[in-house]
Amino acid sequence: MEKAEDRRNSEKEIIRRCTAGDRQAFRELVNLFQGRVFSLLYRLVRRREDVEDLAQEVFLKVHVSLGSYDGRSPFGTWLGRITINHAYDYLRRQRTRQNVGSGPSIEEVFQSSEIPSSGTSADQIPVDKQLALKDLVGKLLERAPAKERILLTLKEMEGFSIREISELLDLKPATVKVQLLRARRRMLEDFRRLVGKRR
Amino acid sequence: MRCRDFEHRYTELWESGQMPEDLASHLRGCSECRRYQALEGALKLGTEFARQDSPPEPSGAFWPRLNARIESESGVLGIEEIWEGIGRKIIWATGMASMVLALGLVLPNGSQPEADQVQLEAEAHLYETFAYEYESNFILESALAEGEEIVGFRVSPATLEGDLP
Repeated sequence: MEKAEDRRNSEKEIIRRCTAGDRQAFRELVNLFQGRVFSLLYRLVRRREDVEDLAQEVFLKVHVSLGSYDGRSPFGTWLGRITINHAYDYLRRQRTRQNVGSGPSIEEVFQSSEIPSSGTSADQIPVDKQLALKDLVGKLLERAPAKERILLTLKEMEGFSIREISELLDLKPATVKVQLLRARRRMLEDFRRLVGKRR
Repeated sequence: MRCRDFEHRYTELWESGQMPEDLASHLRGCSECRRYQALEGALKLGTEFARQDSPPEPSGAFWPRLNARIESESGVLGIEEIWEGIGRKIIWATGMASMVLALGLVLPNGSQPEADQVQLEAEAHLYETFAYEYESNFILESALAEGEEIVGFRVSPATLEGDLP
């Protein structure tokens, strides 16, 4: 508890120095949060080669708008919002350019995967099938609308709680729950259509 | 229980993983819903594997490149800020003009008598001027008729022929 308080105070101090124009303090801030930004961006956009460029743009935005950070929410939440918004814009641009589905198609990925019987645990699945299942989930996420993809990623991949997601997306917890349920159903429906095609 | 109801309720149990007896009973007798359950299980496993996938690390050039971009963009931002400032002033001026216009539309009821008074005074002054001019012209005409010489006084025919409004 005390450690969390210390961390928050240390963050506040770094942010205060940043807003006073201290570049070294901004470097400290980047070092402190770059891991989280990289992880979030990678899970959201699923393009390893684009993550670093996107992270650069996120931190540029942070640098420009740090003065508007009022400290009402934790800095990590504020930064998370900027990161998610940036990823959302990127995903929408990608969709407009119809770049989704680069690499093997979902059908190709699905051909190499195998649906394990229910109750199978992760360690019972051979490594090649694990990779195939992981790619399959990635492809299903890519096909989902950007908002649902973000919700599912935050919950399932990043392990955020409903309350944390509601703070990040500025939504009511009940809304997050409903949208998450809808997103899961849609993803399962998409998966079932794919299975139906193969059978 | 219909399969559709099963699917709806089953997805709601995504996180808890506990199945009520009525769902379990439907599942035992329905191969299609068992397939649905297997698909959901596959998705959960795939998600678990994807979660283990480690994100890329920032390269050694990450901070130097970011720092250089901050340096270069701070100049651009200066210009942007100037434009932003000009934009703000235009918006402010437009807002003020709109407010004055709006006040002008709202306030006439209150200042109408005053405006009427000013207009009446102006009209009275106009009549006075014309009357004076008319009288002057009459005197002038009379003088001319009587052959008096008036030096430096020019009277246009229009003025002489003009009527009072």
